[in-house]
This record gives sequence, C-alpha cells and structure tokens, in this order.
Amino acid sequence: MKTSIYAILTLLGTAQAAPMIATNGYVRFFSVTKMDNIEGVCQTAVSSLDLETGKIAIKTRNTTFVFPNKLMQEHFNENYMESDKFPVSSFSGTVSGFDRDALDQGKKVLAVIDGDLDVHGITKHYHTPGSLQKATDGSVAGETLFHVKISDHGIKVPSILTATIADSMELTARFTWRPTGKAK
Amino acid sequence: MKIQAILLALLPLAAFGDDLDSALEVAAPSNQPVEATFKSLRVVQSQSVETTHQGVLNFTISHRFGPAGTGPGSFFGLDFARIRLGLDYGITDWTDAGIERSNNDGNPVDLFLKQRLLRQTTSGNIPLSLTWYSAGYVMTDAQNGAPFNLPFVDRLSSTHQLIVARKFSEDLSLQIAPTLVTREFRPFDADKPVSAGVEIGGRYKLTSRFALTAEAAPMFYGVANTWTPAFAGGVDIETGGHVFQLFLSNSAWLSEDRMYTQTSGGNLALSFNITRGFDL
Repeated sequence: MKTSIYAILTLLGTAQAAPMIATNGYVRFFSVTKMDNIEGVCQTAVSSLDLETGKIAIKTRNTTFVFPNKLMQEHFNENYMESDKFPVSSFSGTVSGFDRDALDQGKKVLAVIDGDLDVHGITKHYHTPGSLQKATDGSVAGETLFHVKISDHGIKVPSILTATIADSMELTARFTWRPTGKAK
Repeated sequence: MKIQAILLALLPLAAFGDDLDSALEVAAPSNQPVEATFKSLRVVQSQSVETTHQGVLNFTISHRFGPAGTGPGSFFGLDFARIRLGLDYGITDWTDAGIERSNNDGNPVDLFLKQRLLRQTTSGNIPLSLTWYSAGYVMTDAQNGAPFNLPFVDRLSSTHQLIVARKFSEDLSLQIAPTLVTREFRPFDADKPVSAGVEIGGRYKLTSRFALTAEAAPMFYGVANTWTPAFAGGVDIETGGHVFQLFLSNSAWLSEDRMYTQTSGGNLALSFNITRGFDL
C-alpha cells in the first residue's frame, strides 16, 4: 500500500514537473580587442525551465555558432572548442529569487541564475542576474548576460593571438520557453 | 518495492534530460558536414578536396627553390627560385574559382574551378567528400628562352581531377584523385596529348596547428619514360589567418599540368606555400 502511495505521489510529481522547453535559443559571445572583434552567435540553443522547482538546463551544439568570418568559425571549432571532442556546451542550475506573482501578472522580473557551465569539458560555477517575463500565451522569455574567462575552461590562445582574442568573453543568452503540453 | 519507488522518482529526471537532448537533435542536428579535411587548398603541391569558404578571397604565394643537393655554391638551391602567385575566391561554400601565374618556363597563367560534389558528414551516412577540379593553362612566354612562335592553341594545357577524400579521424585525412592532363606542347613523341594518372595525398595532424603532409602522383599513361612521378612531403603550420606549408618536392614545376607530366629525377628542393584568407 505504502509503495503505491509513493508511486502515485511520484507520478503526480512527474506531471507537475514537466518543464517548459525553448528550442530557438540565442546564445552569443563577444569580445573586443584593438585588433579584432570576436563574435559567435548560436540561434539553435535549447533549454528547459521548470518554474516550480527553478531547475534550468541549456544545451548548444558548438558547431552551430556562426561567425561573420568563416575562417574564424573553422578555427573556433577546430583549434579552440575542439568541437569533435566536446560537441556540446551546456549549463545546468537553478533560477531563483524572482517574484512569481509578478511574473504571472506579466511583469518583467529579476532573477538569480546559479549553476554550472560546461564548456570544453571543464565545468565552472556561475552566479549571475537575469530576467524573466511571461507572455499572455503562457510562454516565458528570459535573458542574461555574464562574462566567461576562456582560460577558466582550458581554452588556450597562442601568445601571438592574445592581442586578437580577449580572455574575457561577454556571453548573452536569450530564451523563450513554451509549455510542452505534457503537464496535465 | 522501494526500488520501484526510487525508479519512479528518477523518471522525471530522465525525461528532463531526454527531452532536452531530443530537442537539441531537432534544433541542431549532430550530423553535419565534416570541416577541414585539409587545412589548405593544397595537400602539399596538389589541390586538396577543400574549397574556399563563400565570400573569402585567398592569396597564395608558392615558392620552389632549386635542388637542395647543389650545395653551398648555390646556397642549397636558395639562389634559384620559382614563384607562383594565386588568387581564388569562394563563390559559394561549394564553388571556388581562381587565377594563378608562375614563372616556370613559359610563364603559365591558369584559371581554375573547384566544385564540391559531395561532403562527408559527421554521422558517416556520407562517407566521402568529392570535389571536381579543372584548370586551364596558357604559356605566356617562350619555353627555355626560345623565340616564342607557338600559335595560341599550341600553348594550352589543362588538368582535371576528381578528388575523393575522407577525414578518417580528427588527425588523419587521405585523398585519391584520378587525374587527366592534356598538353598541346609536348617535349617528346612519347608524351601523348592526354595523360592519365592518380594523385594520392594525406595529412596527419600532430597538434591542432601542426601537421605532416605527403603526396605522390604517378602517371600511368601518356607520359614519356624520361619523366618521374612527382612527390612531395612536408609540414602544415597554421597561425591565425595564415597557413604555411613547408615541404620538399622533386618537381621543378609549380603548375599542376607540368608537375604531373614533366617532373624528372628525385632531387629534392625546398618549397613553401603561404595562404592568407581575406573576408570580403
């Protein structure tokens, strides 16, 4: 009896926990030096967000970052990200500290994002502010901006190129999560 | 019984991960064209399966010194240099066109076209990359300083290759290219208007910016016995926007037609190619 109660409770939990999914997420990194700007944009990042638990997960395929300069894109994958060895970059953590009532009323609310960024096989913890806003159709848009040191993730830049590629990259992420319809 | 409950409790976690992975597979499929089978448009001295990215103009400087075996008297061949300058432009990511001129005998100028036909994919459902390469050459000056009285049509030659390549791993890439060369001007009777052979080349990456390269191009038909297959081997060194190819070659020729059909002997000469891409 006890087990079935657990089971039912867990099933209920499952239904409630069905997260919202974003599929055309925007992730951009950008750095400026006197020599050159480095800019890569991915428009096919995916993410899941569970507003009840605050759980958030993001994944991007490294080869889908598009650069204005094709050669840069090739170097990004081959020399820096080593995309054959580390095809996917991901983030998993929590979104917290936001005013749920205000969010449900359609107001833009500030939130705190806490979690682990896995890039180039090295995971690092980040703690950064962001925002969330719910639309009338039930989707939730969110964005954040923070800085990532590429050396923290074991990405080596040859000394001849340190004038071109800054160690600190500005990372922007924008997602619109939609209910999956699985939660009943 | 408890195990069931634990498994059930884990279910939402599993679904969480799977949903995201399947969403990623839909949004950004893992199966993509293989990039950078070779670092440069050339394996060593022959064309590679690669084409220039769309909108990029490549400037290539190729240098071939004299035979290194000539000793200190000629500064190991460095006193004597052949040079070829080339420009090529990526019309699309699949089509590349270029113009080149070298100061080999006859000062040949050529136009070439490279057209990708197939691209290997990361999943392996397309196992090979295919590129068609055709170049047409015209000698703009006399052979060996002789009076230049050849009619225009007799100064023409061409090279055609179907380049078949596979990137076996991140480090190892190989290509094989059935090759046809046509020549209007031929040194010997045994040299036929059309020659056929095959070019085989490969590279092995030692680090992400440094690779060993080698190639050989035996001709099976239409080439006089005097001539020997062209071969070369060296290293690729990549810095930001440049690729340096430093190698030894047994051919005095920089243009493909004569390199394949009129290379003689095994004297190795120091050579290099420098390629710089400009994003237009």
